[in-house]
Amino acid sequence: MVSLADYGDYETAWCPGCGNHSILKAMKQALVSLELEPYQVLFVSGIGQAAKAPHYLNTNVFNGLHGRSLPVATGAKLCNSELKVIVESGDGCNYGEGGNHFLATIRRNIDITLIVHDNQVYGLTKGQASPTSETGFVTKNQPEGVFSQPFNPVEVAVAMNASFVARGFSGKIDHLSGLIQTAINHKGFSLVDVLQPCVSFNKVNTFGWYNQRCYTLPDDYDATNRESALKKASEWGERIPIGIIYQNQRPVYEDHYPFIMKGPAAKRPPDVGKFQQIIDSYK
Amino acid sequence: MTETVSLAGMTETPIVIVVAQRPGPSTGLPTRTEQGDLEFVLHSGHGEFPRAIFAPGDVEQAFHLTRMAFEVAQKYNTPVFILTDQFLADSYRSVKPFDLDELKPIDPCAISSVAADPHLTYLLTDSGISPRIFPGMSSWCVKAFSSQELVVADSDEHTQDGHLSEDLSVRVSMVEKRLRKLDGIKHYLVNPEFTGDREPDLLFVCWGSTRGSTIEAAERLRGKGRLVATLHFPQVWPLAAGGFLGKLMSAQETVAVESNATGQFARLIRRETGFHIKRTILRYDGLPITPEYILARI
Repeated sequence: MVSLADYGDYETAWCPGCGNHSILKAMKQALVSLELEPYQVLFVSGIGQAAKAPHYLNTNVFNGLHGRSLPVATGAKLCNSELKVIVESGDGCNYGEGGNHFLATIRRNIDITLIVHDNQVYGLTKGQASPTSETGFVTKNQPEGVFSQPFNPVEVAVAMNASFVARGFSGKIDHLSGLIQTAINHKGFSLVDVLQPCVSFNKVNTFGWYNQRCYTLPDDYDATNRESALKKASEWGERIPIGIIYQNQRPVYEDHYPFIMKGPAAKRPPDVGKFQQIIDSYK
Repeated sequence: MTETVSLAGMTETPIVIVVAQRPGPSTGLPTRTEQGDLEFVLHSGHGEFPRAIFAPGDVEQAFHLTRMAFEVAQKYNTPVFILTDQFLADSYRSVKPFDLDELKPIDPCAISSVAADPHLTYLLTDSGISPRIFPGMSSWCVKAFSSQELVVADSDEHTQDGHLSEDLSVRVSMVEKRLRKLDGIKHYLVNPEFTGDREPDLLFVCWGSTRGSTIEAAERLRGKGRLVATLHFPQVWPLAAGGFLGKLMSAQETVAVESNATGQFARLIRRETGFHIKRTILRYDGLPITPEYILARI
């Protein structure tokens, strides 16, 4: 039996009241509910306050570069398809610096899970506008307010026919934990964009702001209908839907390459006989 | 590329990178050849960490040095380069079949023979090499590890267990640990290949793909009665003066033959050994160096 204690209990560098604490709690609950042992899971993260999250879990961790968590996660999954690979990083890291990797991973539909701590601001570097910051959002760096249009990751993911797209809220821990579990169990790429307050640097999108707007999708909502999902994904402002927005059963990248599914690459020594055959074919 | 190189240096991830040089800067001459990126590859990635750079001179060397590159990368958990160029990378040539019997597969288990319990990704050792295990592979290499060991790797400076740290003494010990690996890498040095007269009047010094043209130019000069030799470097980093300095000093005149505008390798040799190769034959118009090109400048 896996218990919460297996994943450890660490002192964090996060502010009191930060949404990261709740996301970490939801993540631990999900891992334990799925009975995943720490050694069966690999967390990959980039840079940012969110990217520190894996350091607060007793598991396999690769804490790499800003925006580059998805390439590392992709490589790890290809080398060992038996691992549960989970990427955890922030909105700036994944949608800004890592934007192209986000698109490529959706297209490939590789079987990894992406958890994005989305607080609509760069918190680690003390409050610059991020890709999901609202137009008009005022920061020390953008004193006249953000001019650019915000990136809606959920809408983009649905538009790209991502195979699992969900939005959670750090204020609803059990709901979020359920989403994370479903995402991890989903075969193919899964995105959970998690709205969370940054108590220090985002005084607009606060806990109360999200709490007032976030509503869970009704039970009869059909997440397999892409057309209605697109409409739902674009809903933002006074009301923000949370839950599984869209889901499909697209073919998974690994299944297309049988050698990947034969187990960890490191367990398979180079096939010298095959290599000899290639050499002989040129004789 | 550079951020990956630096990341691999810090996370101690074995990686082999093939750089096929073309004339820059920027898009430059994208379908032509040059050896202009030696200094770039030598210094690519911020921070200080060990690396090795192989520079194959022909197809056979490309085969064997690539295998060695993987061996060095896996053993020392650091980036290793194959520095070639468009000329060699796009070449086709018939070669004798490679003898695979002599090439044993590299066994990562053997490399990770010493382990701490629990596993420490960045265990401090005399050699600087920390045992490496693979996440999630519970029943593999178990002779040294318990079945559920965890791997924690970090691009931030880190403690032995892989978690980020700004402790000053941790920083110093980790910098020194990483750099210690260079001493071991020096055991894998491929000595430069010397051909021609033992005490030449003229010694050509070259690296990488200019090997064939330089050796041929030297042969033609010997045919005319001159005492000429060639020193070709299939590995350009790290350099150990003991392997070649005597050769350089035995020649009356040394000439560096390189496909670049500034004689980067000659400069590197001077930096590492103090030996000044005063004459250079350089080509940087995008075409490969030919024997005729060299002979016209002698």
